[in-house]
Amino acid sequence: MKNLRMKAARAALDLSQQQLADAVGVTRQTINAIERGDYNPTIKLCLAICRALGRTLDELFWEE
Amino acid sequence: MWNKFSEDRYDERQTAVRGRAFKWAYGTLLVALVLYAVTDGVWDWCVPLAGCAAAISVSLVPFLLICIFGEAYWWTDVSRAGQFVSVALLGSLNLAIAAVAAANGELVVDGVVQIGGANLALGLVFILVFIAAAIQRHRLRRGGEDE
Repeated sequence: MKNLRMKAARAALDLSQQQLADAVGVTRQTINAIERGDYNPTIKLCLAICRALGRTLDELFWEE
Repeated sequence: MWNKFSEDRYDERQTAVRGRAFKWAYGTLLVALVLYAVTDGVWDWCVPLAGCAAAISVSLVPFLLICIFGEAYWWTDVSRAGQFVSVALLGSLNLAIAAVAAANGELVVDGVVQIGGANLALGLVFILVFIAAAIQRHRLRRGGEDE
């Protein structure tokens, strides 16, 4: 399932996938895979993304 | 020096992709070695080193294709152009060595593939890597920044 909330949070900060990838120490393709729902990140990477985007885990990754 | 080739150079998704690739490579290597052992028992078709090199080359194919198309092959902070040139050079060099051996009649002697067969197999793998990497590079460029 696509993670549109993460994509929206990134876009709200005007960050490219590459910039977010650099901020959390992964490749752009990994960020792209997470946003497309092709890859389930570890909690460690989820936390790093949350910190980089200034959001909580619930806001970005919790599925209702 | 060793750190340059460490798995730490890959992020967690790439590590997962490489794990899947290693699994396929291991299975392929086992099958290839069994096939080599069985066929070599029936008729002596190559020297052991060439047979092993062929089996390893065959097992490298799934590993490299999964890694390349999963974007888990190239180190992110190393020049890709340099890696492309290195792979192309290694492929060409191995194929050239095999071609010279074939021209001198040393590639196959009395129906038995000689050591030049190892160069041929490795050369083909390097060329495959180059082609697959070029296709992936094209796909990524076409995909743009935010796919």
